[in-house]
Amino acid sequence: MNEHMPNTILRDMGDAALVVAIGRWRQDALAEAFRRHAGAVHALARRVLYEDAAAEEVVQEIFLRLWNSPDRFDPDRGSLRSFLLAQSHGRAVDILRSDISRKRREEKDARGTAEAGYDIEHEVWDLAVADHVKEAVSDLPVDERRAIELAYFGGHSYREVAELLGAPEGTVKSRIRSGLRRMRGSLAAAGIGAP
Amino acid sequence: MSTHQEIQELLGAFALDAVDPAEAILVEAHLATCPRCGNEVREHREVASLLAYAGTSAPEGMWDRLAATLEGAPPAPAAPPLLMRGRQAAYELPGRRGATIVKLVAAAALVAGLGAGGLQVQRTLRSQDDQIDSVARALTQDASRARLLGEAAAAALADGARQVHLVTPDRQPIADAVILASGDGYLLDKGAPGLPEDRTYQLWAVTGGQKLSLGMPGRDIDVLAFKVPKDTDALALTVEQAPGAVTPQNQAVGFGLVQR
Repeated sequence: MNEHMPNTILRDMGDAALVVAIGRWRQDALAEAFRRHAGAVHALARRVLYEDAAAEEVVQEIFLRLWNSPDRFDPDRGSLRSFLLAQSHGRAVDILRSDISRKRREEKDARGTAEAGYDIEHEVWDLAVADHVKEAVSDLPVDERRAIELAYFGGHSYREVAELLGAPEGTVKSRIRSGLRRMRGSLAAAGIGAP
Repeated sequence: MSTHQEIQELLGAFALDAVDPAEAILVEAHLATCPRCGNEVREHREVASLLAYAGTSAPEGMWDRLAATLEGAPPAPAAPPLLMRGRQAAYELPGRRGATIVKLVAAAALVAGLGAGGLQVQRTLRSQDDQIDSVARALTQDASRARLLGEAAAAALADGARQVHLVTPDRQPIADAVILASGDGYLLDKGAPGLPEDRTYQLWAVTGGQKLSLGMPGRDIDVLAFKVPKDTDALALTVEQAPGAVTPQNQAVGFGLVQR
């Protein structure tokens, strides 16, 4: 089915060009996108779901979606990594919030608390940017950091976060937004961040 | 209806999938018309993607398992018709047209640094018929879709609005509905797969054991307006032979209780 391009060409391609190639049924292009991003997609799904099999299902689903509907990715609206991670997170949260996962989630919450979990400082490993991201995270006011941790890695809605933290819902909404903006500012100042 | 500022306050939580379904509908409808807020959500997601990045590869064997499913599943039925036709054409000419086009597009994107333009080039390579289909569909569908999404968003915030989460028999979300005190309601897609051409989704009101047809969203649910009787106990979603059935012919693929 596929005539393979040399790996060096694929590896030099930008993500948007890779998606164009995926749109022409190039399985080797999908393999390259997988090589670049599946680790992050898997790690995020695993972090939210706390379960290997479910995390792999999410990875498979996200890359099958990319294979079947590459047009859904619009490079003008963000990076491929951000697109894939947003999809992965949304799917993982859907699974988490479905009834069948409630028990798993309760177990996960208990385990997370026991491990003093949701600590995003320990979740960031990218060698190139890790230090800056960690710094941006640790510079956040503790209230903002906790709200983002519980929402993003815990898969909780802001209403649930408010309940968990004993804070008003409006305050939690604001903390999440201001924390994300603050981090973006810090990262931009360090030359890292969204295009 | 919410103010722009109220929507803005939700953008951070929305970007992290931390809002309720009704709020998500509201924000999505707003983003369709507000590039500034759309940009903010994009920025939040980019920041989140930096937090998520683990710097590790996917576990060994995962790509092989995915590749095996690709080999066994040529063009997926759920793919949009426009894409399906382009893809099938590529299948019919293995290693020739498809490969040549990829090389041209890839070369153009690489040489000109036009990664973002690559998709546009790809679109122009599709047949004129496909483009005409696409434009015609867009013109007829976009206006009514935007109107319905706006109405659904307003409904989600109305006093006394009831949320119904339809789930599959294995408890996966398939569609969400919001029902106003008047009985007017809106159904929105929540991951329902696309159907073959001869099938349609059909929405039913379940009232005291009776099932009343509320409408046919079509092969894809997207968004549907409907009206329910006052004593509706539940909503059910079935897949029927197009154009639809008088009584349900198949087991429900989605079901959700209506709170009284």
